[in-house]
Amino acid sequence: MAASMKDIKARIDATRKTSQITKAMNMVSASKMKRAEKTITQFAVYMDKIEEVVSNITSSNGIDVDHPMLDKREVKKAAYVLVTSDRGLAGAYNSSVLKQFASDHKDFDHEAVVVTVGNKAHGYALSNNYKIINANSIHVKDDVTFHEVREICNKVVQMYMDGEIDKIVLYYNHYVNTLTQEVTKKTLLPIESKEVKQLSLYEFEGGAQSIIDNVLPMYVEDIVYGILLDAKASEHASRMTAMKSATDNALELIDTLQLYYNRARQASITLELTDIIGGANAVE
Amino acid sequence: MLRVSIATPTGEIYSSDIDMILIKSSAGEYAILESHIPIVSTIDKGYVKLRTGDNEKFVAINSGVVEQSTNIVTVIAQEAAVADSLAEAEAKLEELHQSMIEENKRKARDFAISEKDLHQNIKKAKAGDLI
Repeated sequence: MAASMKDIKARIDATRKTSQITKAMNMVSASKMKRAEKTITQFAVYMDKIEEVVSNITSSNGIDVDHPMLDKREVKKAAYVLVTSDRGLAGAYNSSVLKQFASDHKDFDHEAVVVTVGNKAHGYALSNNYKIINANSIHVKDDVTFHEVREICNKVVQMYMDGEIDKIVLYYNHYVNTLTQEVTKKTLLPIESKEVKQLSLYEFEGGAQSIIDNVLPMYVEDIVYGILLDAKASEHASRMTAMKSATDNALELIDTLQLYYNRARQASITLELTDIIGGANAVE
Repeated sequence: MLRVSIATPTGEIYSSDIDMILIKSSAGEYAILESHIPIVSTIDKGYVKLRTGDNEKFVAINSGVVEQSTNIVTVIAQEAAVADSLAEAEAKLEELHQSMIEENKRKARDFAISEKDLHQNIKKAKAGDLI
């Protein structure tokens, strides 16, 4: 007999409770993910439009515009924004971002500072002695609002504008679908202008320079907002999948334990029977 | 006829066919009619007026871009509110703005409280440190 019946019973109960918790977490994440997905679709309409306008302005030939956000400077110091979650139990969600950054960090030929979104990134950066800009990790709520984005953006963008840093890169999990999230690096600043298929020749009311001055900061905020939404959806999807497999594993374990329990019970009955029969034989 | 669509980060809030759009920002105002040449302008804080026949709609805007080409007007705004009169639209936008800030504050406070609770409970249960 491997373990007593009482011990096995206790383990079954504990595992059952764990499975209930993981099941609940799975369902919570599923509903949060659905909401995040909806927000992304709504935001995509807006993002497509602003992207179109920005690429139209920045790639219009013959228009003399210049803005620090478009200048590619020699990179001496760069800021890296690591987007992770506050809590664990989300599968490889956090570790994949941090691993990717760590392996890239070794090859940097410039000074790197990090901005940490989420406790996990903050803890990691502290233990690896990275230079962190923010004193506490930036908390992002499950339903990301535009105001939070400004808080995150302003400081680091200001540093870029002041020439303190020459590049801003975001590391985050891009949401492909429920089962797949991939680590993505996105250069926020300087803005990488996209190729446009067809150029509209625009009249710039108020002058191209003033339009650029107004639109680019807005555009940067929008990109960050989009990325945070994307990362949130990935977090929920990743947690959902992780909790689903945790629940499955727990149920499987319960089945195995139940088998052991039955065997133990059978063994104890057999033992009792042999005792009784042995006793009866001795009396005769 | 112009086709107008107003988009905010929470999705498209208004879209319709109109006769004229008037754009007012701190830099001044101008209007777009049908067959205008492609144009781009920005609005820091202002509004747009949409006219169809005798019917008028106002959209109050914080940080936006107006773009027009091939008779399609796209208004992209970080915050916007639609109403039948300017005062109403502005009031609605202000309310939206305030409620967003309030909501944000409330949620941040709630989060801090529950976080503190959690830490206390973990300590009480002697479950070790939570990173």
